[in-house]
Amino acid sequence: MKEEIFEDVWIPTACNMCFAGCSLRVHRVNGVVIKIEGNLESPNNLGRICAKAHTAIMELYSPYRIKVPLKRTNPEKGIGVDPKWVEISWDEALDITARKLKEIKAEDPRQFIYQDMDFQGLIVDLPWLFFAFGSPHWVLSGGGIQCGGGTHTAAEQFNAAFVELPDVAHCKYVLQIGSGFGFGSSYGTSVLATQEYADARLERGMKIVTLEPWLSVPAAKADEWIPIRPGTDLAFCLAMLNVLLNDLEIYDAEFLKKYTNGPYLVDKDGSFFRDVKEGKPLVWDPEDEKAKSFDDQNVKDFALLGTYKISDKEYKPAFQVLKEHVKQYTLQWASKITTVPAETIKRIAKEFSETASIGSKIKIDGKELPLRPATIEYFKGAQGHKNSWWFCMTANIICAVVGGIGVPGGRIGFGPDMAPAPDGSMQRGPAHQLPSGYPPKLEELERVYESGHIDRIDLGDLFPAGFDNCQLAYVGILEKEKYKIPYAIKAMLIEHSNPIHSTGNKEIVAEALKKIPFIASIALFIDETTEFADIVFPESHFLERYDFLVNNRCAWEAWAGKYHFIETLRQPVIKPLYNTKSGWEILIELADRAGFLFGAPKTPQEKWINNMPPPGDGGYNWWLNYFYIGDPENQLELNKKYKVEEIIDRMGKSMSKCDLSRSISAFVHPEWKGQDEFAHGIEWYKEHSFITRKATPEEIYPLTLKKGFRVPIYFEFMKKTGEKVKMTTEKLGIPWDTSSYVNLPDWFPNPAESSPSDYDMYIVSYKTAYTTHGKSAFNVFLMEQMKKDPYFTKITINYETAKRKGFKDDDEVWVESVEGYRIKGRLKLSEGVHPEVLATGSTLGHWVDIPDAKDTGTNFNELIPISVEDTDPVSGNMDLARKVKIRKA
Amino acid sequence: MRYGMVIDLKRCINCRACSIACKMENVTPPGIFWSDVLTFESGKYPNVKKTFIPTLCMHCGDPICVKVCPTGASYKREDGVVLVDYDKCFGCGYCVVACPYQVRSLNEKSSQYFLSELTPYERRGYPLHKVGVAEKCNFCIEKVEKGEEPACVETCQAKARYFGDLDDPQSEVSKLIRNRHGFQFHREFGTDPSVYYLSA
Amino acid sequence: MEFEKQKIWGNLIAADLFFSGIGGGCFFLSFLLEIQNKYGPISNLGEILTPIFISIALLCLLFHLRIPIRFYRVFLNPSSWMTRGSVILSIFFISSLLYSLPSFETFNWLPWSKASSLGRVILIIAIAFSLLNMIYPAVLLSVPKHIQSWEISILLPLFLFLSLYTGLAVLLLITISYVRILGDQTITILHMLGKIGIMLIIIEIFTLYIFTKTMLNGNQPAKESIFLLIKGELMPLFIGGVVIIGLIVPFFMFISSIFIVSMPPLLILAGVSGLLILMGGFLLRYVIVKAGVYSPIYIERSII
Repeated sequence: MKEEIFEDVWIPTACNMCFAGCSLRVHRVNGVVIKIEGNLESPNNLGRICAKAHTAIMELYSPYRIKVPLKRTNPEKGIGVDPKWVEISWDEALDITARKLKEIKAEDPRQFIYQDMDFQGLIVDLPWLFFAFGSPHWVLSGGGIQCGGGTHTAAEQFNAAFVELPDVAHCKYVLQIGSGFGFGSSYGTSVLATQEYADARLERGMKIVTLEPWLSVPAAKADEWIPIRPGTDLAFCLAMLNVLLNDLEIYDAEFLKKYTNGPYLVDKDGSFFRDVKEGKPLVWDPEDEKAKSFDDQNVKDFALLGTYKISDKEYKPAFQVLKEHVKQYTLQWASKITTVPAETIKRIAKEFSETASIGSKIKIDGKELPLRPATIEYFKGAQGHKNSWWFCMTANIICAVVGGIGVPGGRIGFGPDMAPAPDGSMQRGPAHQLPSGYPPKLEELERVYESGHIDRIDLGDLFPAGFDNCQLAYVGILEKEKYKIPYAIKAMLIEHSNPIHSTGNKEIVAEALKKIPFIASIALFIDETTEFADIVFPESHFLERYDFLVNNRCAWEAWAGKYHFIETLRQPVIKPLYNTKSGWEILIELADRAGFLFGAPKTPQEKWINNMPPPGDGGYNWWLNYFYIGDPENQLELNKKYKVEEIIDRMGKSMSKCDLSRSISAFVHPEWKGQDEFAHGIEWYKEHSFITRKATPEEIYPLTLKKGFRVPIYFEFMKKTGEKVKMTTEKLGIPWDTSSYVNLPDWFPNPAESSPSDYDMYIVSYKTAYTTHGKSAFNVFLMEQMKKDPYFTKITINYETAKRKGFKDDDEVWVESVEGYRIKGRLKLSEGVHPEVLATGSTLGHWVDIPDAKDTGTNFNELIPISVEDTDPVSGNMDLARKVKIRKA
Repeated sequence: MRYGMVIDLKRCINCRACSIACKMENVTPPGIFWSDVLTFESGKYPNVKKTFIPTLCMHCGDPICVKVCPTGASYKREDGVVLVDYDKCFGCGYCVVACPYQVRSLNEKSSQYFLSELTPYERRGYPLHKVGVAEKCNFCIEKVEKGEEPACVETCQAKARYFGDLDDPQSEVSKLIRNRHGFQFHREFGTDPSVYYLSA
Repeated sequence: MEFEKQKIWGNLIAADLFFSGIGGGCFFLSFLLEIQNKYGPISNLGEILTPIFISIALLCLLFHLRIPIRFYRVFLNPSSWMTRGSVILSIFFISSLLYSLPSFETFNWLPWSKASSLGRVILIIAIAFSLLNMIYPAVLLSVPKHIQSWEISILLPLFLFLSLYTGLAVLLLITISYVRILGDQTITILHMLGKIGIMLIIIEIFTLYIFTKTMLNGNQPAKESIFLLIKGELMPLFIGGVVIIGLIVPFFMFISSIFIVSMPPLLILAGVSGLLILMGGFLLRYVIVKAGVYSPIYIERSII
């Protein structure tokens, strides 16, 4: 009996299964969502979607979803402790939470943490948190902190971006280190990058060489897999840099002279030689034989080498200093640390530099640009270590040395709004919205020094050159006396975040959470961290709600399509199945009930800093107007509560009228400025789904097309910053390692290098194209695939190593770390893994009572300590290469 | 007109989108996969390779499953697509055992993904199947007849799958097979699959 | 690399093949006894049991089907060996039934007898189909060419002689049950059956040996199927059940029975060996079906 069809519609929306925000078309028939496909018209993913997007349907209809607000009645909190939930009304849940927020805001907004992992919601979350409420505490979990430390700080300085990526369309050679980009698994899936990589490999013969501790998908598909010891990629890069500069002597002198700080003169103490009047760094003009300002129009040539005597003092160009400095990093030295044969490192350096074709050019849209079709791509595997900052900088220095930064074929970013600082370095322009590590936040250090207190619970004040340290929030909570934190965290709001499972060893996070008197969680499922909540807000699934600007300018995947900007509307495909609200709706409600939705700032404008009132002053409506609704006609009335759709409508209509005079103005969208054809209301978006335009060459490759930028190969600010950090921490009596605040790249070994010798194995984790967050395990269809994979739910070990240790396939083992943390799993013997390495699938090992997810696989994060000693003191990244030992269970 | 598919093993990255897209399009019951991706490892450390091979019904030119089916439920159409008539099959499983590619499944018992309830999506989709019969990939023939491509082809992130008319020498699939020396698996059994592979 | 084996066919298919084999073997051997004109009661009973075995075989197939009500559809595709097998079973059922019925007084009224020309025609059909009955299971299994261990050149003799062997077991049991009627003839018959049994056992062991050796010299899936039998999860059933209980023990029982002339121990030996042979015969069908290892489309190599 055929069913009568009374409704058959396809609704466009944006995916939320990872950060990419691909454009979808969702099929609804007779009120049931039955299929999800890609939107062929969108340049974001060119009509294709990954496995996760398809399974959103089963996430929507999952019976494990939270259906109604809950309140905890068991005062005891702990891992495995039953919260004894009772169902309550939305009013009660919101009132209880808003009351706490109101108290805390009035007393000290720093006492509040927003524990979040929904990067697509940043546009609306961060103004609420940082500016309307006034707390600086944005704490991420696994996906935000294991991966980004050095990456983002390097992207800032080299491409004025949040993220850097290879310019695949023009590239011939990628040295890919610890990254799944282009193979379905980096910080999201990036369907587009997969297509581009596949096209480049097949149609243009792009070669990929991977450095990986195990035969991951990129390594399996690459032209060459070079096994490497985890956490030693920095040593590989230092030796490679030495080969380029001192052995092969291949470098792009033109690029170094014009677009880097290579020619800046450095004195014996390591500081730049600056002109007395304006403080600009000086360079040596060998033709005129005198020192001139770096941006002097009359400079005839820039010296890169040599020693110059000026007023009885000796100066060398920064490039000369770097060249001499890296001589100590020999191939033999690197080979010993990395286990990569010396000839291999040399050969890769040679291949890389030769393919870079220094001096070659290309014409794009009528503009002539340098072409350097060899680049390095890296991500979590390489930079998830204590030497994160220096690894990322060194990899970028190598690219800069061959002239491959910000040019076709090289390493590019999404930073079209960059503005040069007075010393020529890159600064992310006013439209950049996230915390930053450059220029170093010295004023924060000064404030700490003066006050004798740390302001940020995650010790962010002590990371002037980084910002990915939020896992230390748990350390700050547990050891506030040691770190001179003058307040305690009184409340936490969690959105889509599961730090107990996804950050590090669960006991540490659990102990910290126990100290927070009030926790509310906005979640789809009762995950391990939500079990610690006092109030649970059931969230509407992304197929049930409105969101806007989800492809926000952090541009996780950098360029959408072939160099397109895009912003998409997320609209509901189905009415909420249960008694749920979207995250944004909940934030608006909380702001309303806690009294910070309405009202203008009270601080008089003369007292504003950087064109902004102080954080915490002004209602959420006011801040939304400030950042997004530059058109006075469309602004929100300050004392009226709006529905999300109405706010989106006004934001959409104001897209072309953003006001760049509001600096720090983190959230505006200059790519649409002045282009009224892109200003549309929500009704337009419901039909058309997104706005998009192709970027111009100036926007894609600004380094050589806009004037005045120079990327760093010498980090003069580091030594000075380190001295300030040392001074500050010594004054406060806080033990702090500042040894990596040096001006040139050095080898900084990870804690694993000094582990006792009986801990003879390393352990690393990885993901697949169909797992992104911990909640992937709660999705039955994805879990089915994970279990079918021969390796993912097991611990992969090298055949020879296993034989030597007497292990067989499928043996159950305990893996124990130096700290005494342990996990249990089953072994999978393989030839495709470094003999010293164990590789295990991530996002698994849940203990919450969701069938299938529970007890499948093992939780790698359990082995990761959360401590200052295991954190990169510059970038804040956690150290993920742990030494372990295994024994039969 | 002979419908066929080409799968480029060099492009495939084991993302499983094809396997899941197929499952979502056809609402296959738990444990049944009409489309799958197999992983094979070869070599000795450090010269190791992994090969990912997506599989689906090969819609053979000379199908063994049609020959062995006692009821005539498995049949081959003019356009090369091999289908199963759920009204004729009685679930002996001979076709499942005889298929050299192991791409057929027997829908042995009624099952659902969540013990506690049947989701609306499953409630709508499971009646498309029948408990007790053999089932397999049907080249998304309903979509194809509307001018679309099979779900697995549409979704493939790496553009590794192509669909078209093998009888047309100018079709994309025919050209790929010619230019990249497309091969069939298990040629020795003489099944003449309509699915060709391009080597990794 | 792990190899997958077929999981669809199990007990009931094994039982279907088993009973059709017994039916064929039992009828054939009964006929051989019959032409000696001495062992009437045994051959009569053997012949009438045949259609019962065949109908059990058909019932096993019916219960194996997931939608048994569509059973009649099994006859619809002449190119399928399952159709052909069902046709063979059916014709054999009818012809063996019709041939054997006239031996019983209740069916005297039938217009043919064993000796009549119609009866002879029925006999020829029945004999031909008893042979086909013993052969077709091997062909049925050999159609999936990607299952290396279901190789026709080995399965055919293996199943043929196994059918005769299990048919022999039935005759042993029939002989014992007729001991009162047969009297001292029982000993002669049992000795004769014992000698036939010894020959069949030697042939079976030899065929199994060739089977094992051929598979071990084959590719990996072939090796896997043998490993399953000789050291894997099917080892207890194969080595213990098929080889020891089904072949070796009856072998020694038959050898020793030659030297025994007194009734009671001989009867016991015959009875026990009959049951053991039946058990071993079923288990052999079962393990062969269960050890059907698929050849995957790609086999991992340890050296590139």
